This record gives sequence, C-alpha cells and structure tokens, in this order.
Amino acid sequence: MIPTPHVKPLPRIHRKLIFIASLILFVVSVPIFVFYATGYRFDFASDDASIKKVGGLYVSSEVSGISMYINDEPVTDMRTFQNASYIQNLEAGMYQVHTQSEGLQTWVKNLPVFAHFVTEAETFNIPQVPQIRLVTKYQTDTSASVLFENATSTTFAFASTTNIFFQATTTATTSYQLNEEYVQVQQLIASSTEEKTELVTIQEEKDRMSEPFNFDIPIPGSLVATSSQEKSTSTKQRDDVRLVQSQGDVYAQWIGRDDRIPFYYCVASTDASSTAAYYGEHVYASFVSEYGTTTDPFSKALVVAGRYCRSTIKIDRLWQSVQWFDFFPGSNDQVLMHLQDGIYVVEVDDRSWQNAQLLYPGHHLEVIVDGDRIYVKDDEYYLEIFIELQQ
Amino acid sequence: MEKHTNTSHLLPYAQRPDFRVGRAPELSGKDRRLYRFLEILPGVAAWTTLLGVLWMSNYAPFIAAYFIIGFAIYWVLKTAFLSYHLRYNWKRLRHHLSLDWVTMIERFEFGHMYQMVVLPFYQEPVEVVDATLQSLADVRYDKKSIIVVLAAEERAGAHGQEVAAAMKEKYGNIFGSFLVTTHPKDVPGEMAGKGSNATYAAEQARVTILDPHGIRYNHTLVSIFDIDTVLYPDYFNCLIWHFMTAENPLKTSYQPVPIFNNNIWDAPAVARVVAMSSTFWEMVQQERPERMATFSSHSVSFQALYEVGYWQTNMVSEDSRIYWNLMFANNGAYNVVPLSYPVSMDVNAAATLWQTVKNIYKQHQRWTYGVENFCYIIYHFTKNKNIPLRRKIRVSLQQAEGYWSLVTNPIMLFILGWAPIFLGTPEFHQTVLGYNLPIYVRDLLIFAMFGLVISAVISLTMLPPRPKGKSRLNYIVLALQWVLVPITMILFSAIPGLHSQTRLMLGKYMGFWVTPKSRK
Repeated sequence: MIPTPHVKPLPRIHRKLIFIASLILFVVSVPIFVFYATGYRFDFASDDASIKKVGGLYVSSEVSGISMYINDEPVTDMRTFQNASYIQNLEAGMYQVHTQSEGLQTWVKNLPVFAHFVTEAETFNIPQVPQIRLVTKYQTDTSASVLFENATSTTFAFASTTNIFFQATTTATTSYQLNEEYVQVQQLIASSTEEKTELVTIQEEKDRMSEPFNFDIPIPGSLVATSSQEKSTSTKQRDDVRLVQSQGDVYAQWIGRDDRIPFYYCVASTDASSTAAYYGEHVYASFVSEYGTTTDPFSKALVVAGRYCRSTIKIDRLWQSVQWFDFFPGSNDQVLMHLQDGIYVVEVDDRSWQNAQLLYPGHHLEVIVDGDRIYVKDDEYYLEIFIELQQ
Repeated sequence: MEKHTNTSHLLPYAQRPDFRVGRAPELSGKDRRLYRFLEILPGVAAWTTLLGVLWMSNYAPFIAAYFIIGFAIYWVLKTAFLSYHLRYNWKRLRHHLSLDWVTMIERFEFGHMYQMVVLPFYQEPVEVVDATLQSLADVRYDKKSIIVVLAAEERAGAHGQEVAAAMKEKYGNIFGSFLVTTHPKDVPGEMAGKGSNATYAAEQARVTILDPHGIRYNHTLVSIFDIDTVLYPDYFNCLIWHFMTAENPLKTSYQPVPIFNNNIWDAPAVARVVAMSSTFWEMVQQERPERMATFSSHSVSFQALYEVGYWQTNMVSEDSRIYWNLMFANNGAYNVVPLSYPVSMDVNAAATLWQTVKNIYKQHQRWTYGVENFCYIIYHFTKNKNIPLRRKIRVSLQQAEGYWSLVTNPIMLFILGWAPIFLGTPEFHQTVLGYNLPIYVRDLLIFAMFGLVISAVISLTMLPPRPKGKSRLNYIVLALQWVLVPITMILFSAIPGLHSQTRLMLGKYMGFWVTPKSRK
C-alpha cells in the first residue's frame, strides 16, 4: 500500500457545498440588505409581524459632545459622523428634536420624518453666559490686558471673560504697550459705523409690531424691480446666500444653483394643510407670498429632487427692530442680528420656527464680523465674543 | 511568431504556426483580428465596469447603490470562501512539511528518474545564486541524479559569467551534472526574458547531457526555479511522490507553494504584505487545482516540455503560459498537481521604501500582464476542437472573472463604493438608502476584514527564524501590518493590473522586467 499524507486535498464535494451555501446566502442576504438599506423593517413586536417603513433624521452640529433628544427621549443608538448624528428607524411622523449641553442654550425644533427619507437639520448651541474677551487699548509686557478702572466685576458681570487683567492704579500709559488688535478693531468698527444707515423707520416698526408675521407684505425677491414700497437698505452676501433687509425685516435669499439649494428652503408636502402641519403656517405663507397665488403656490414653485422650494426665507426678529445683521461666522445657515436688547444668532431654517439664541445682551452696541471673529463695542469697551464655551 | 525549423518532435497541435503566438501582430487576417479583439476585451471590460459604476452613481444612483451593496456582500462571502481554502491549505502545507517523504517514497522505484533544475538568472548578486544552490546541495535526495543547469544571459556581461564560473567551481562536483549555459543576446523573434533563457538552457541540456548520456526525456523531471528559490530539504522527494501517484504523470505540472519569505525580516511592511498576499493566493489555488496554472517556480516532465518546444520566448508570463501550451497541445488532457510543499523566495524589497514600492509595482504589472494568457486561451479554444466544450466554457469564465475581478474589485470596494454619495442626485442624497449606503458598505468591509485575522495568524507561522537583533516587538508589527491590505490591493493589484490591461488593450505590449534581487 502506498503511504499517503493524512491531510487530503480539500474534497471537491466540500468545496461545492460551501460554494452552494455561499450562493444561497448571497441570494438571500442581498434582498434583505437592500430591504433594510432602503428603509423597510420587519416589525417583530407586532402580532402580525408586519413590515413597516422608516425614515431618519440627520442632525449636524458645530458643537461636539452635545446631548440629543427626540420627543424628550435621549438618543443613544445614533450613528455619529464627524459633527453629525444619523438617527435611523423612525416611523413617519412629527418629531421634536432638541439638543443641549451644560452651559449652552437649547436648540429645539419640530421636524417631519417621511418614510424612506432622511430629514436634515443643523443645530446650534450658543453659550448661556456670554463668553467674551476684552480688547484693551494697552497691554503689559506679558500681554495682560490693562484696565484703568475697576470695571470688569460690575460691567461684565453677566459674561465670562478669558482675559488676564492688570488693574492699573494710575492713568499713566508710558509703561504699557499699545494693543495693535485694539487699534484694528477700533478702525473696523469705526468704518462699519460710517456705512451704517437707519434700517427702519419708526412708523414701519410700529406697523410690523402690530403684524409680526405679515406675509402680505411682499418679500424682496418679488419686489426687486417693481415696488416703490421697498426700502432695501442693506445686503450681505456670502457664497450663494444673500441677506436682504427690506422694510424692517431681514430675508435670506438663495441665489445659487437650483440643485444645490439647502434642504430647509424646500418642503415635501404639496398642499396648504400638510405644509402647515409639517412645517408651520408661515412656511406655506412664504410660498404664497413668493409665488403670488393662494390657490396653488406649489404649481409655480421650484422643484428640486421632488420637493418644492422657495428661494426666500424671512428671518425672525423677535418683534424687535433690527439694528444690524450679518452672517454668523463660518455659516450660511445662521444670521447674526443686533436687535434692541442684544445680539442674537438666528437660524435661517424656518421649519416649525426659527431658533434664536442670545449671544450678547446690550443696547446700542457696535458689531463687526472679522473673519471668524465677532467684535463688539459696548459703551467704551471693545470685546471679542466667542461662540463656544471657553475653558 | 517564433520559428522552429524542426517541429517533428512536437505534438500535432503544437505544430500549428499560431501555437506559440505572443501577440496579435504575429498573426494575419481573421486570426489577427480575433486575437486583437481578445487583447482589447479585458481592458474594455475593466474600464466599462469602473466608468459604469461612476456613470451609474451619477445618473442612476439607486441602481448603483443596490449593485454596491450586492457587491460588498459578494466580497464578504468571497473572503470567507477563500479564507476557508487558505486555512485548509495551511493545514495541509504544515502536514506535508512534517512528513518524512523519504519514507513515503521508499516503496517506489524511482532510481531511473533524473531531476533537472533550470536556474535562469540575469544580474542577480552571487549571494542570491549561492543561497539557491546551497539549498539544492542540502536537499535529501541523491545529488548524482540532479542535473543543474545554471542559465546565464550574454547581455548580463562579465558579471553573469563570473557568477556562473564561481558557482560551478563551488558546486560542480556535488551534482550529477552542472551545466552553465549562456543565452545569446538579441536573438531575432525573441523577447529578452526568463522564457527565452530557460528554453535555450533546456535545449542545451538536452543536446549536451540527456542525449549523450541516453537519459530518457520521460525519466527527467524539470524544475524551473527563479534564481531566488530556496528549496526545502524534501522538495524532490515530495515531487517524486506526487509524480508517482499522479494519474498521468507525464501530462502533469507540479506546483509548489512559493513562500516569499527569504528576506522577510529585512523587508518593509508594505512589501511583506504584498509578498504574503501572493503566497496566500497560491495557497488558495492549491485547494482548487482545476483553476490552477503554473506560476513562478514549478516542475514538469522534460518529455512534456520537449513536446511543446519548451517555454515561449516571445512573451512575458512564460511561467503560466507553459501550462496553457501543454494543455492545448494535449487537447485538454493536461493538469496541474498542487504539491502543497513550499519553496522559499525573496520578498521584493529594495534599498529604499520608495524603490521597493516602485519595484513591487513593476513586478505586479508584469505578473498581471498574465492577462495576455486570456487572449491565448480563448483564441485556442476557438481553434482546438478536441477540448470538451464544457471545459472551454468553465475555463473561459474562470479566467474572465479572474482578470476582471483582479482590477475592478478593489477599486469598486474601497473607492467607488462611496461614489453615489458624492456623485448621486439630490433625490438620492435625501433618502434613507443614500445615508445607509456608506454605513452598510463600511460594516460589510469591516466584517470582511476579519479574514485578515486568519491571514495574520497564518503569516506568523510561516516566518523564518527571527534573526538576532530583531526585537520580539516585530511580531506585533507583522500581525498588524495586514491593515495595509486595502491599500496594497489597490496600489499593487488593481492599478498595475489595470495598467497592464490598458496597455494590452492599446497594443502597447510590455517587455520582460527583471525583479532586482538582493540580500543584506
């Protein structure tokens, strides 16, 4: 008998069986994966083991480490991307999403979720206590800010400062260095003030106070060339978004390619009642206002990816007059507005409502956005306001 | 096309003028058009697939997404399937290494058998040649039955002659015969490369050793080894056992497992991963011999070689082409027997990392240029009516799938899998499918990566002893290096493969590139 190795080559029948098993697994698993990936779920909890359709929420945030709640339930099983969370397995319906974190203001929004679709939202959470840094005229050799009076403990008691201060006992300045940043900020704010014009008349403000969401007043997109009522006194533009101030209100206008219009300019509904239910009556009113018909504004609306879009969204000014506005640093989705009682960050996204968070309280402030920095002149003080909690 | 003046010793099919065709321009008329079409086909298929996925991602992202999900699942199952074969062959390889093959073959009458070892070399340093011959001198086999043919190249100049002379001086008396041949340079119709050198050497051995000594061709087993091949002691005993037990020993090639580990401790991680991946692929193939062709170092009877005129001298991948030559010349009645016994070869490593990367790329471009065999196979399937249709279909599909998946699968998995997310329509982006696609593909790939754990474990067991001066911590690096696989698959498999197929498609035929060998 010929001696033979004990370990024989892999029998062909084994290989065939494994191949067939793999083939069956493939044929079975592909439809299941596609089924789940497209938003179908077996509802094992129900008695009849039915199939349900689900959608999702995609909530992005500039702040890391925030807590998210959906209908007051903490979200734990979310897929975390860089600065965003994807919440799956949500049945169609309205969901209240809120994000919060210690020391930050809360962002809340009611959002509709549709089967097979993902509703997007961008949250922002501004510090509850303003985070500031005084920009003093003079500095010591060690870059400590020089204060000539005992001011910070009382003047900025509402805020958190990050400066190292040197309390000067005399008004002599020869031993200090002139702060170049102070000079620069002073010049920036001075030039801004020169360009600033009165935004609204008192009468206009009275009118608007009596009718805060009066969409009968034409919005700037439809007024540009025709209306003599318009008093567009200031515009800001960044990328494909323009902020237009008209008759006391500020509007965000999308001026870019149709297929790149941000999600919150568009709705998935096609009639007044569902639009009002999912997004708020004001959203439907904005379609009526922009497309000029109360019967079926969607028939004239821009359609992008099967959704109906408007190009203009009015920014909520909290029934106050707008002293100044600009884009929030680094974002086209939020607007900085100096209202009567302070500087606010207001989101453009008007689904359900627009979140407005107080960045810095005060009256008669001078504000300037310089790159990623926000500078404010409060009384005789110049200061930088941070949008995140400082250590 | 190669010209042979005396073709009477060739098998009937091997006497066809197109039997040793290397590329389309060597043919004429309809045959030339057919062969050219076959040269174009793999490149077109690969580019159509890759661009098709991009196109679908842009214009039909939902279909692209379904396809990608299906493809990722296919990849997971394929990985599991291949890992099973790998693990099994590892078990068999270890078993074969543990066997006493001398005892295994003692019942056979094989005293009449001669082992001819053909060692083509070019400009490799003497240390590399010496290590190979030393391992040959150390085998547990009757050295007087071994005929060494050290095949130098004239174009290597004095270096080749000096190495050959030194080796003959050192080993000439150990073996039955030690023949040094010098393949002349610039032979018309030949491509400078291993095939032309080996063919010249084999014919010289026949004329100067076999015929004068009356050694029968069917009693001679030829082992053609790359010059960096270091033998394990029982290689020839293992070969004899398989030769004696083969169903048709003279119509069979014998394929060992090339383990690229000679210099593995000195090679960078990327080179080690690429080298071990090549080893593992050959191990997988050992368990499915019906898909095998010969690769790199292998053995075959002289009789079979003589009947087809030895290796082709006009193409790059002669190591696998010789199997197809033999298969067609024998009308399909020719097989490869996997030995599941190793030979050690060099990891492709140069002095610098960048040079190593370049060398690996070139080496793999040469290997993947084996796609020229696809044209040859399909062409001769249309010509040879004696091969069963079923086998033709099976082999054609296997080859087509092999060359297609080689270049498309890694790119589709690791790059194009995300294309619908970047290129898809706004309709797609707002769907659950659009959001789930990257998650599903990523999770499936991570799942497939578990196959790498098997690879890491097996690779650690195949290491040569740790040299002095190498820390034990290197074992951790050697295990963790497998995370490089997605990169190496794209850089050293898909891209050089696509490069080769594109060149063939465009008719920019490749020449033979000799992998530099060195030892520290």
